[in-house]
Amino acid sequence: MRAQAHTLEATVAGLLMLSSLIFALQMTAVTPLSASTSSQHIENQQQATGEGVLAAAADQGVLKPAVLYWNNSSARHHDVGVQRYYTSGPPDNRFGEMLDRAFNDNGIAYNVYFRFQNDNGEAITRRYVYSGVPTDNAVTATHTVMLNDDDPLYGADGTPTTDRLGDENVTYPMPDTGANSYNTVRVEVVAWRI
Amino acid sequence: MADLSGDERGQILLVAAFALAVIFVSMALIVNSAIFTENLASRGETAGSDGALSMRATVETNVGEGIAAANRNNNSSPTELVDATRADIRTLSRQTGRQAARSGRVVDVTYQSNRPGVRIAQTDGSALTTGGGVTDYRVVGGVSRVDGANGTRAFEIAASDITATDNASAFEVSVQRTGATGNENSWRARIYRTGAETVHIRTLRNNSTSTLVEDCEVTRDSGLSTFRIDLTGGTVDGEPCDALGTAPSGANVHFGAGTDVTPGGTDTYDIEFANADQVTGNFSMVVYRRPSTTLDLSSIGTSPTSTTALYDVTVRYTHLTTDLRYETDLRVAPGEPDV
Repeated sequence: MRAQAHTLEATVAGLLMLSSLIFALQMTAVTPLSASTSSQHIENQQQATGEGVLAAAADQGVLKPAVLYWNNSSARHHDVGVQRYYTSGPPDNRFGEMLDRAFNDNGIAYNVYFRFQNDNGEAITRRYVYSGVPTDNAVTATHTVMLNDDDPLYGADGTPTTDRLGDENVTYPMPDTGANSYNTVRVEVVAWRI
Repeated sequence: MADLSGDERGQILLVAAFALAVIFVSMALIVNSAIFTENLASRGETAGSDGALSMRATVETNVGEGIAAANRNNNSSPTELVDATRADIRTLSRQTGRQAARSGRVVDVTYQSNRPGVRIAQTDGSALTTGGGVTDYRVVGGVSRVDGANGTRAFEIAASDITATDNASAFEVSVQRTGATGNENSWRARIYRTGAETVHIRTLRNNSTSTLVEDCEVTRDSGLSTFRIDLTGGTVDGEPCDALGTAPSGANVHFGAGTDVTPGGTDTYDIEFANADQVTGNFSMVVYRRPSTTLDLSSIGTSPTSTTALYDVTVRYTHLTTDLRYETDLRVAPGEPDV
């Protein structure tokens, strides 16, 4: 009887030791991908990178050409394939290069969306670059670009074509919602670690 | 195992396990709070004013594009100009406002006022001479400066060809105080080519006692068919050109500021071209016309041509978040350099 009680005590004590160890080990279970205050820090950095890429692109005047990187005759972005958005890496323009340099080498996946409105004010989202469904820890950086009727579409080599947004036969997928202005596009970069 | 007496068996083990658990938990807390402290310390400012300021810059750019579009397309009367600009600003405010609402912000832009100007432009790609072939002429006279700026903005030349290859025969843009003699109170920019793809710009600033000469050269990227020279922005094909920027002392003595014309007064300056046959292409600029004055545009006919324009527009910009209310009047004059 006595020996049994001792054995039971030892087992319970061992269980307690083990469970306290497992509980304490929870603190070390912070992997680079798990949500915590330290991954918040990384997210801040990713968001700053995203904002920086967008601001630099806008400042160098390459963000709008990237938005208007459109093949008017095939009615899709240049070299997108059947998907109608870029799935294997960024587009072959300056903005695409900047995204590539900022994210691709650092193991960060990203999507780029265009958000705009139709004549009724309904919000429409179009994918531009799509790498998949973002994780819970994805961050978003945005920049607003205003398109005008005078703005040209850009060719595959990045030079302006003679097609302008306000022209009759233009196949650009956003509606003309203003007089001189065409539409306001919010370029959204969603980035996450993979 | 040690020989422990009677009832105390196993209890020490239990107490030790409990103590260990408490130690581990408190260590976890300490480590976590250290991480959190580091996280707080390395955060940017938390009120979100950077969002308000970056949106302000975006709004400024977009309103500026609206003004430029109205100046190009709706210039038959001042009323039409203002109506087109206001319509553009309304569209911008509505669409930007809805999009900003997605991230929990209220953004509103409303038109306040404008100041008149004249846009002078050539769009037919010919030599920069007058329609009659005159090479040395006054483009515009009687331009006033505005507070903190030159009174001339967005002066860009898209040259398909520059024939001059030395300083003596160079195309010259001369900005001089109205009524000054010789080269006094003037700022001049000479544009010529020193290679097939290289453009050289020399600026000379005369006041009554001395002349300040600055030079810069920019080689354009291969494959481009034009030289885009932004005289007020200080760039050639997007690359900065020192001679068009600020002086080595940091003071801006360029363009209107180089003529000693003070903003706000009745002094004015004239813009003249010399050797205009040396450059072929297009140009455009917008100059400020002080209310109840007229500009001297007597040499301007159909190419280049002049149209009524808006020099600048003031809008009220409002940005609200739960933590921040930011409201300011924003003067928008696209292509106007900081002075």
